[in-house]
Amino acid sequence: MIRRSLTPALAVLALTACETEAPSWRLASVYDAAAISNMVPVETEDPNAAYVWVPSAGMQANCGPAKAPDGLGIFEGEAMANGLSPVLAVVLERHPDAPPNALQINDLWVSIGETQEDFRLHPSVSPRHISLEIEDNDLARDAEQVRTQMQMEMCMEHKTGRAWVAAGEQQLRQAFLLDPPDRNAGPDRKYFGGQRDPVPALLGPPDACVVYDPGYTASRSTSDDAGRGEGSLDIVPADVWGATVRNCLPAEQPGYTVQGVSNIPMRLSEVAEAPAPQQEPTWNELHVALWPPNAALGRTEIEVSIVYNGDDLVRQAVEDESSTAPASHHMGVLGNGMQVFTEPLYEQSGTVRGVKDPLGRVPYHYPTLGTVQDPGRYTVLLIPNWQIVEGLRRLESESGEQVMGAAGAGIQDGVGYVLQHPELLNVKVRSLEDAKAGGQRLQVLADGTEEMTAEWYNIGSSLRGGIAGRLPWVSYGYTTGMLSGRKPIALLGFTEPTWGQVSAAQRAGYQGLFLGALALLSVLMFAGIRRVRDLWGTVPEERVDFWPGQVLAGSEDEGEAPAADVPAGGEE
Amino acid sequence: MTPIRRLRAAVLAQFQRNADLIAVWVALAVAQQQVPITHFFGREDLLPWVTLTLSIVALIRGRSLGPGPHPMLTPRVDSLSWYMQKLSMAIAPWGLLLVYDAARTLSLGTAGAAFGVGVAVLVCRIVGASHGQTAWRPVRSTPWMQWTFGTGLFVGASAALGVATTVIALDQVRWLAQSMLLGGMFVTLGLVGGRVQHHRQRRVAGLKGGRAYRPALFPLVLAGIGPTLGYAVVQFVLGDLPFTQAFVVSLLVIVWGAIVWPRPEPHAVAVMLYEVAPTGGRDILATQTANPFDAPPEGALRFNPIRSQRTRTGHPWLVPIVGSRIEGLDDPVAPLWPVRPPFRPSHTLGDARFEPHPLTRETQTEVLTLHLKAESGAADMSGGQVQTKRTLVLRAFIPPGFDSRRRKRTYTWEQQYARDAVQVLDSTLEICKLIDGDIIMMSQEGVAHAYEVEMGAPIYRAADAFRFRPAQLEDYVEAG
Repeated sequence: MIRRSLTPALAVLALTACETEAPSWRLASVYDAAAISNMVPVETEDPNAAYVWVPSAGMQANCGPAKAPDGLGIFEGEAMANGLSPVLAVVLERHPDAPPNALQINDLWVSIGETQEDFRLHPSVSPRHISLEIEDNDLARDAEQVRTQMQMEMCMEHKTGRAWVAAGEQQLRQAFLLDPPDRNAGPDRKYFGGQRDPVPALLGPPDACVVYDPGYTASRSTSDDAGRGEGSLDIVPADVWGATVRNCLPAEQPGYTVQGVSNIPMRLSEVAEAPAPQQEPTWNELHVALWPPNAALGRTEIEVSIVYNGDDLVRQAVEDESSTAPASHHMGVLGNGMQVFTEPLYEQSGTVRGVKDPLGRVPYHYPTLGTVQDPGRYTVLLIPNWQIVEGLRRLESESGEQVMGAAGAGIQDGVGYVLQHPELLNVKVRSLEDAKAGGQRLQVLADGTEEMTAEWYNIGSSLRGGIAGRLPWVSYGYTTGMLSGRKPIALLGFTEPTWGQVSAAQRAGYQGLFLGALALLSVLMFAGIRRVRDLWGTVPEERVDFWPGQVLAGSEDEGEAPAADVPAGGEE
Repeated sequence: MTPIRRLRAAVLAQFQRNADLIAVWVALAVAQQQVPITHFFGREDLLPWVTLTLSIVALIRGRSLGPGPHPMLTPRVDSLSWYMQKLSMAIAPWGLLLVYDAARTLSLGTAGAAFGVGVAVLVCRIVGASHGQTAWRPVRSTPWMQWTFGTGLFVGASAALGVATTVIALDQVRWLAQSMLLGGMFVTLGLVGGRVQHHRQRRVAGLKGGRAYRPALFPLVLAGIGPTLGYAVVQFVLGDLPFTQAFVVSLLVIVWGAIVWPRPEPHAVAVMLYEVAPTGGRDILATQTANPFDAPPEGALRFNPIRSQRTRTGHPWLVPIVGSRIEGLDDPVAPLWPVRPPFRPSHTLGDARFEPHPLTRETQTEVLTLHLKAESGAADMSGGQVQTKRTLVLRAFIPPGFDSRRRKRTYTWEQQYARDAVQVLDSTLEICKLIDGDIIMMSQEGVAHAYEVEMGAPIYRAADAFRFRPAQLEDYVEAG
């Protein structure tokens, strides 16, 4: 009896998995959010059936009308919310031991393609609602320059519904409509007005204001209606150069709820714990201070400090040794006594001396959902179809320029293609240790020196097939749901995803069929392999003369065996 | 290599013996994917899923943990009642689970549901009372006190476990309580399927040799402690398992179900010998002259075991199973009246029985072993006459475990087939092995009879086997 129970007991233990070095986030689900949403018919009488993008009234008045990206005609967030375009939704679950910080853009790398040649994707981000305060320290002209630049950028976010992220000189010049789009291909929807690479879409209308500075005189009246792009559906220079940002009202202080705008609603499917309510958007403080040269402190040129919601972004860049870290930095003390790092305001690029982009340094966060106990447990990455299609086409072509501006050719449903070829999707996150250490961690090398390292995990590899890491094209199907099929999904909208939608997104039916078919196939193969030799085995025969019970063919002599009336050989 | 072969044979035997439970486990693993997250069956503590698995095991294998009625009594057979008994056993664990939940959450609704389940179990038990009923009631009184005490004991224990889980909010206490609840479910299930009357019969009859009857407690202890320990080990080692790994606890319940309620070992197997006739193979005569020795003889019938057809004549053949049990100790209860000794299985061919597996030493019902009589010969000379007779066994396909090496040929025109494909029953052969589908061919002076062997249903009651008349020689000699 002990022997009878030993074998199955070993099988039980063998079925368990062991935890090793872990990434900070795990893949919970990957699905087409639009297809899953459309499984449930929408009640046309329901006022919440469709999401409508309502821009901020203040931004409308000061920046001009919101126009959506050129060539789209609709804000990306609105298109995703109403299921007008396939959307690749990737839900990540935070490791229980990971710090409860929301994922920022530089904490994540999502791409398609091979590891060496991949095309980066930009999931949609939550809008920032920035209350900008500029401390000029008697550098009014430079402060004016910084303010104008930041106003233009914040207005571009309002007009296109896309996030302003740091970019190169060429891309910035095309964003500000100083240069035409690449290859003069006409309106290019990939960026604000002509850049070639995608940027994240916003999941809601942004808002912005500038803290009133008594010593500041606007070069342009905010009530001047002319020259803010009202006369064109496309983004024109007047949209860029005529934009301003209003002064903050008393209720628009950091930490206060933003009035008049609402983010795209998102709901998590039912989980065991009570779901956390979606947080209302709040104002965020961005404090930009200019610092005049000070020989005593070693500051030889005008420098700038950037503080966002109390976080010194320059200090973070220096300590993380990120790509945006300045070559040199100094210290300064703000009016509230906070000690900050400062970096040069201007940078030389060839013969051009440009102002740095403080707004591009401010981090964007991906939307989070969770439970009451853990509100930020799940991060939802929403990638519109066109980014994936663009990426697939570029990967397929030898040169990216060949596919720019080309519409209607090749793959149309990039989301479906990636779901069918999950080996193409890369989702890289930091390791758990790095996340605990705040992004980078100190590693002691063999020679005793210390080095800041970052270890990234491609958690999208769980979707891949292959054998022992090789032959990735050997697909076992969508494997994320195999053992984590009960992870929740997130859909845009007001209604909670049903179990049918969760089951479809996680392919529960396919998982069950796969398990049953695998078991049946294993049994048949095992049973069949043991009898394969029957196919070529020789069946023995025995010779006899007479078979009793058969009809006699004719008369017979006494003692003679009657002839058997049996069909001849070969007949049945 | 022998330990490896023995292990392989043992694993294969276990898979074959418990194929029904393995199929249940696979089906549950498939169904697990479709259970909604907040559904009752998808509860994170996995208790409903464990109970569901146990209920299904009860429907398939569930039976009383006791030895049953006195073996000399004939129990009534009633299909509907049997189903109701199975249903009562399958429902009973849910009652304990609901009591546990009611005590844990102090919910009156859950307590009411538990009461309803209890009533359902009682109704099913009453409706299914006729199956297995025997005529002897040594004690006239109804065992209401035993049932009441047993019900109160298990319900109270389940409630206590639920209270303990709530009062002492420790993971270890919760794990232990859930493990003990599972053990209690196993015991409850087995007791629900039993009868107090059976215990009374055995107690009154006593044991052989005049000793007083002592109830066998080992099955109860095994059913209670085994799953408890198993589940406790799993939880203490692995912690709280998510529902995605519910197949682990399902497997645990399946394994213990197979241990606590193994397949009953039969006493004999009803083998059928069907007379078969050939449907092909007659040689076409080309000439009327004799052929040289290097050419096959003409004018004969080649019997091919594949090209045969059953006739309407069949001969039942009851073959006993030789197991590791000792007949006298199998059921030590004293007989109620003198019994005749069990039949001796004799056959015209020899002594037939199903012997234990050579490697695992466990009973098997696939290979019939025939110990041949010494007089099996090719020729019989008596009274100045010579008669040639030939008995052989043809096997179309060689299953694993048999000798499939090719036999050496005597003549060039002979077929080269596997060694175990043909067994010629002559004076040199002592043991013959028969499997399902073998053809026994008996020919005398060229007149042949062929019989196809079919392994039939196992017989689990010795009384049924005792009543069967063994096959006699005249059943095979007389034509038609």
